Amino acid sequence: MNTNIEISHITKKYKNGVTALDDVSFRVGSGVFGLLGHNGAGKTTLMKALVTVLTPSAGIIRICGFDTVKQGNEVRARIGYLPQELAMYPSLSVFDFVNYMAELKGIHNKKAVSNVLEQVEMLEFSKRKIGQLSGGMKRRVGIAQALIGNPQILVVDEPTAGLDPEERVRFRGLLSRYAREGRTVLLSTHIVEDIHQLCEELAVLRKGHLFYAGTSAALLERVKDKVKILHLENENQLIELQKKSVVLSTTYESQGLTARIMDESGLFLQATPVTATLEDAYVYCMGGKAHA
Amino acid sequence: MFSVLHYEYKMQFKRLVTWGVLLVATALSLLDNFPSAGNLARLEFLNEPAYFVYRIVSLDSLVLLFGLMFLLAGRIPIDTKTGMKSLLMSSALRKWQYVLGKLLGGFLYVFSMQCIFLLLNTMIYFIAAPFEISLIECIVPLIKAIFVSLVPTSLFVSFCSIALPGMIDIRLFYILAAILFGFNATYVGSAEAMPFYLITSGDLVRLIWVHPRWPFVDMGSVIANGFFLVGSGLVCGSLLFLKHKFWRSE
Repeated sequence: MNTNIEISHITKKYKNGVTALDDVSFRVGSGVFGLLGHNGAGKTTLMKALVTVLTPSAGIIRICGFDTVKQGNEVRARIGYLPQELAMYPSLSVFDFVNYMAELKGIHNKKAVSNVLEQVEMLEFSKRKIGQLSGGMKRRVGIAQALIGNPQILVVDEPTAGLDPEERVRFRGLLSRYAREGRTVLLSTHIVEDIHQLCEELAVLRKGHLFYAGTSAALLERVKDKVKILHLENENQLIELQKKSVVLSTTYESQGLTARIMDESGLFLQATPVTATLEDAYVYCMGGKAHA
Repeated sequence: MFSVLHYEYKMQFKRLVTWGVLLVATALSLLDNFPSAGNLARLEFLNEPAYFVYRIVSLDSLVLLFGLMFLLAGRIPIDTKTGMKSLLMSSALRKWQYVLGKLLGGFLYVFSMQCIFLLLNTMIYFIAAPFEISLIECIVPLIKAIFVSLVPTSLFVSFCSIALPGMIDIRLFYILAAILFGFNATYVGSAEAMPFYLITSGDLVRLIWVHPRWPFVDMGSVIANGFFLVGSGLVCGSLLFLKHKFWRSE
């Protein structure tokens, strides 16, 4: 595997004593790589360290072989970044904003700006002010500015949060198209469906620690044949069940409720086995339960 | 740096509220100085273009500057709030380019708005005056006003309004600015002694026009006034460069 991103023993401690990342190491090759974790798991901190905005307290990150701390300029020339919740400048037009970002990357070419806007299907709205765009359109403008200059590495932080299903599908298509030709897209999200649709490989962060790094197939293998559903009469039974097993999710019905559980030792003979999903594996990794 | 400067300038000019502030300031200024019979009777020297320019610059432009100060105060906090600062720091842009682009973009914006304000008022005065005025009588005080007032006050207002909210809570900045401008608006001093810390009505503007009964200009006070405006602006601007944690480590 050609390594485009190499993260070695990264730790980030803030002055207030909070450790956002603790000895995190993994490698990323070409294609779409998912970074999964709850809010506050350390994903955004890691992203900021990758794009040279934050300096790690310890450890090294190499992007295309360049150290993010010592060779920041080389790194910045190779990355496109879409931060979480990028509101941009509402008084600028779409074209002006992307052109501004292009100029900051040293690209003084209006044709390149038009091309990238066409790529994200925003060319027809290029004269519209950013303040007048919908959330999905703003996100597309955000990705357009990240794509300008065809960076080798694209770092996108929670790009689909808050988008409607149609926009999410469109966004996934865009990212997977970009990841072809040996480029890397590092996608940070807490939406498992995005990872499932896009990534062959992923890393799971939990409270600043790396919990898993590898293929999604291998992660699924961990929970294969262990996921079952069980019908319960009432909440008391659920409380009892939680003492004996990991409850992945519960669905309330007109009569009682159905629990999706992780039956590791085959104790629940009355439960029905079901096909495990990446979401099951993720919730299991997080050691929690998700109620529906 | 020029990209930041260019887009800062453009963004401010495209804001509708910019033109609202200019409109209100112009309306107030014309109420006070329009060469109507009432104003000509009230203001002894209003038939002198130099006095008109002096009055616009020293009194009425304070309203415009106060409005522009509020508009500029959010230029750095907005980048942090909208996620733009992270994005800018992930580009090749360096700290000095970002800060200087913001400061100079703001300076050019305030300077341009002041020029438009002054030219607009003077044009109306020139056209509406019920007495003969030669063009040169208007141009000379205008040129003086640009150098002795518009440049230093634009620098003071833009640099302080952009840089200070990048370091202190913006609400504290608004309170401090309101106190300073409030004092400037309500100060009633004699024509002989003007404090050096007055923004628009210090001794600098007496280089445009002097009262015939007090025709002396104290050059020491002029320099002190100029030094206060330019010096405070530059000091505020430099603080941003010196703030270590303001940008990524380079």
